[in-house]
Amino acid sequence: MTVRESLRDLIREELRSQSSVQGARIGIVSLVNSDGSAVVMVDGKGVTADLLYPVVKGQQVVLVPGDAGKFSCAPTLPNASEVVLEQPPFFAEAVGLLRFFVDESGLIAPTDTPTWRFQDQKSRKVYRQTLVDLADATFLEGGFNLSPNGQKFSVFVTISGQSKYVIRSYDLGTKLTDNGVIDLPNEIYVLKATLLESIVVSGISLSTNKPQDSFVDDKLYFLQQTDFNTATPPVPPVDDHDPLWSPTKLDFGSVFEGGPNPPDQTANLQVTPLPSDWSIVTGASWLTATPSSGHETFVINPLITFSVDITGLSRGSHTTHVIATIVTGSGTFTATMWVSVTVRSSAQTVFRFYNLRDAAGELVSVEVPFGSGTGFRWINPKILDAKNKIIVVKNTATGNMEVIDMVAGTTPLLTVTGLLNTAQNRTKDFFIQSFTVVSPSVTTRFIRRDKSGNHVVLTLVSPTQNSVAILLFNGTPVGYMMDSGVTVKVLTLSGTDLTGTTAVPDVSPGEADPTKVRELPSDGGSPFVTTFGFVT
Amino acid sequence: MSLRDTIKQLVRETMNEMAATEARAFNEQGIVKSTDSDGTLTVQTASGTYSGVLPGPKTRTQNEQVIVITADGKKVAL
Repeated sequence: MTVRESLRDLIREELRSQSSVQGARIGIVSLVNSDGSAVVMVDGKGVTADLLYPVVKGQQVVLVPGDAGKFSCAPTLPNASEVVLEQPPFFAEAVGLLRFFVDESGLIAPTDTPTWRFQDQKSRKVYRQTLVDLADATFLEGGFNLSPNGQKFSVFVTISGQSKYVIRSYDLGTKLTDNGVIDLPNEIYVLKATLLESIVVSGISLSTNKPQDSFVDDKLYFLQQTDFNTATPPVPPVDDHDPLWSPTKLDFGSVFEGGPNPPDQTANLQVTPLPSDWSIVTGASWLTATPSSGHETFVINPLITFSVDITGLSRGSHTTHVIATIVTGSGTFTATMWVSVTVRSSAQTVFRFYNLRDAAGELVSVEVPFGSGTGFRWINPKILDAKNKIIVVKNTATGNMEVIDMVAGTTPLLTVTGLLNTAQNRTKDFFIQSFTVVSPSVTTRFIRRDKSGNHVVLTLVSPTQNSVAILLFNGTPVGYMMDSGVTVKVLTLSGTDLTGTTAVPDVSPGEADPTKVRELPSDGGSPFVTTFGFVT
Repeated sequence: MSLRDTIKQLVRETMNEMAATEARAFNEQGIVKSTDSDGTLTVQTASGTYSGVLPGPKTRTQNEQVIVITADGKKVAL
């Protein structure tokens, strides 16, 4: 043994003998006790440790020995950045501001009554190569690598179909899963996330409870919910003459973004005693009153027509007021009427069929959003090469087949007819019905391609009517899986029809369930166009 | 190198070795030199500069003073 080794042995011995030299370990929290301690699993054994910082079950921590055989622990990774769900102004629901943020001082149960749960208790991990705006998300969706460069993006969340919330400041991604309901304040609600594992979205219901917890990899971040009911909806000013309006408020209901304006509505304004002069001022440019003023000598309650123009209105609830000023011989009165309209995302019309699989079993996720008047909009055409074509849609009215040539860049419809964004198409029971596209501009929207590059999958389907989506695969189609909600018959244009039909459990758009994925039979290896015929 | 420096180096080497092999923690003060793209830190201590240091429960900033704990071969800033 060299002198050097001998010295090192001596040093080791001395270090081991010193109480200040302790063994620290990396462990996983298996239990968080109410007394501020936690049980940390190390090498299969549980060690009780005091918390230097808040931890939750499943979190990776460093376990630090202290005096008298006691241990302390602290997370090995920082918590996530602030996540804010912010209510748009003038939201009439009794909800208020919902704020999720990270608090290193500990989890604090909300003190107010409203609690939350995710509407359908599921969220979905969607593979997106790039995404800066999830505005078309009806439900919260998962994402992957959404902001590798730290980009900020917004997520709009529909809450009980009434309004939307914006999640901001995601510089660390998060993901929620369908862990069901967590009772507050008795249970800890947490959000786990990992770097670049972005986003999180799901519908949130006002009806019952709770934030979610979820687990992504081994990194964990706190999600805290506070500030309930802090954003009080504006209260219409009290005016003794409000009853002069009949009705006293107008609700134009819910309309789709990019769609037609809601029908006009009318209200009567009592302007007595006559004669009188009256005038109307609306509180927002999207609301117009016709006529906006008048002089009455005989009519005691002139009828006013109100028109809403949603052009430029953001998605969400919009509320404004109408103030009438009535000048009579008895004095001057004002009367206020409130008017509201909700602009909904056209994503309501989207059919999402997830978990399409190629033969290699690689997940392929596809979204088919409906554009605003020019047909379908496909994003990310680069997934296809110039040889690929996706031929879309049999017009059941005419029998025509519509073709989209999926070349790189813009992919126009090849025919003069196309897909019309009709009001019917924008309903939940959307169906490709009448094809007229004046200026088709179509880009692909494939979220992910398969591993081998041989198969690109797209479906356009209607669960309620006969229609087809035709797919051409640049390679040999061996078998496909899909999770639509229809009975499926698979045909090939190149030859023999695939036999039989495949029953797939009915699911609604956006509710595809991986457990319902069914494999369709192979067409025997034809490299040609494959037609998916959907038979009701 | 003086005998004193040689012994100090020897002690540091031994401590690092024990930290890695015996899961013993030798807490050191350090300065965050950089926060890296993978979320880890590069921390400079008296015994050397270490990269891949887990940031611990807080988000760290450059030049922040931290305690570096070695556990199971990993270094964690506290």
